[in-house]
Amino acid sequence: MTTGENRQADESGWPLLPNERTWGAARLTVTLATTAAATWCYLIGESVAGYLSFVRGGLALAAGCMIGMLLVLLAAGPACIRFGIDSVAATKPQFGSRGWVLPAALQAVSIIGWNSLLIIFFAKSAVQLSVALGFLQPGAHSTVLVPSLTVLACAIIFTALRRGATGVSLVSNILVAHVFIGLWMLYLLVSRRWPELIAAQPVSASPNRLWNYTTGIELGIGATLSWWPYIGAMIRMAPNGRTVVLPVMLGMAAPVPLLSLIGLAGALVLKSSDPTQWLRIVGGPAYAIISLTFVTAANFGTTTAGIYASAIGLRNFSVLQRCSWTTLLALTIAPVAVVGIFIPELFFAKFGNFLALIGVAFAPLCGIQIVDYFVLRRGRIDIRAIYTNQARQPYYFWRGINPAAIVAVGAGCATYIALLNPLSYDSAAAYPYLTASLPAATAAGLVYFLSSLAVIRAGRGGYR
Amino acid sequence: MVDPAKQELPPELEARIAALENSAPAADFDAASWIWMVLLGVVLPLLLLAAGWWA
Repeated sequence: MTTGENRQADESGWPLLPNERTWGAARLTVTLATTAAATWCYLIGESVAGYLSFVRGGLALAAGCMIGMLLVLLAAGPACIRFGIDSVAATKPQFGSRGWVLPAALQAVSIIGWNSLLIIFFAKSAVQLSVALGFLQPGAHSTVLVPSLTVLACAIIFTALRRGATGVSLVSNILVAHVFIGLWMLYLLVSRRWPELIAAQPVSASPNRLWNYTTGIELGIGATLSWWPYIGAMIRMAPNGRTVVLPVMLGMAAPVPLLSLIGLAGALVLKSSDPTQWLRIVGGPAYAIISLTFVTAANFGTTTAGIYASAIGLRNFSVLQRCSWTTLLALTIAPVAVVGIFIPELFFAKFGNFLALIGVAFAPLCGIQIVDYFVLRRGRIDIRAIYTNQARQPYYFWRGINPAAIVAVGAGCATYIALLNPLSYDSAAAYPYLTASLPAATAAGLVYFLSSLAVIRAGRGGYR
Repeated sequence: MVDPAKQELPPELEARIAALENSAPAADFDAASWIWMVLLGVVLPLLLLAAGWWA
């Protein structure tokens, strides 16, 4: 394969050949860590701070993140690792040669939603940074500057991603330093405010101690399940499972709880999860500038990886298979830019509800993929069938859709909502003992298994 | 006779799939990978949860 062909594969969404999958553990770790570390860490930490103290919240969150990451890796990992395909392509054996549109839509909406949010954060942070550095006057008109900076950020991301996955890696290599800046900020807060931190009590804690603890775990699981859309496009660049496991479990899962401690600590002690506000209080303007740089860099790296993953996912649509990489990138970035330019404040205010609803679907998706790969197919995937949409092909099922997967997603989502309302946090009696994501994944997997028995009996799905 | 499934694929994609089909099946997770996954995804979370509960 020539370099040109490598780049074509890199930007096509086609399966990568072994000689094209050149990312080692270090490169993958850097890319995943840069992708994982972003402003959402503060938001996650702030959410946990409502229910748990610093130590207990940090431990529950870390445990939840590791569990959630394992689920994502077991779900999307095997097919992506074996064939060099992305997360969406890996769903075709379960959802069918047309039914994969459902997870593709989930991926697109989730990534566009998160990226819009992060770009708005980026623009806001850049405005604050410019003010702090004296480039702008205090009180600069953010209604003009935020959209302008959104356009600038989208243009930079577009330029970087014209080099495909190499662009993601390049941006990550430059921005990975922000992870260490984040850890330094955490050290600063912990070392200077430790007594207050230990004494601080969560403001929204339930009288039920177990409920609070389970909610900390659930927030961790939910946070890492939202990596499902991203992970395939990254790990397919590595040659095998051994190269992938540690970077995913340590490079992607570990930074989230660690950096979430910044938001957790800030929310508990200073009643603000935003380090750009509390670092000014703790260390003065110089520290505020450093933290603003961190926030700006963090969101930029994550958005770059997200746009790339989303573009690769969109390649699965036949109408987009033949369009140029430049056009596809423009189509992927456009919704993010539109949100950032026209409705940044509205989106910023409503993001929580939006993401809570989207997040409900990823646990069932993981349960279905795990059962399909490890139990029903026992690792037998037909790579040709993933890329064909003909009636006689194994993953055609009925009109290209596997009803077992659709029913299972519904069962999983219903289970989640029955246990925990993601908007109001009203919960069932069993929730403190089970979490919501784990039963949702289990229920979806079980329903998928039972439904698939009928599918197998009908001779559909390519099961052997 | 040509397999109908092969006719609809772009030549580059067809070449890639053929190359993957003709090579030895790639493995997903080896024994070491499973050990790390169990340690980091099951054992470590259990330890963290126990530590947090009794903290």
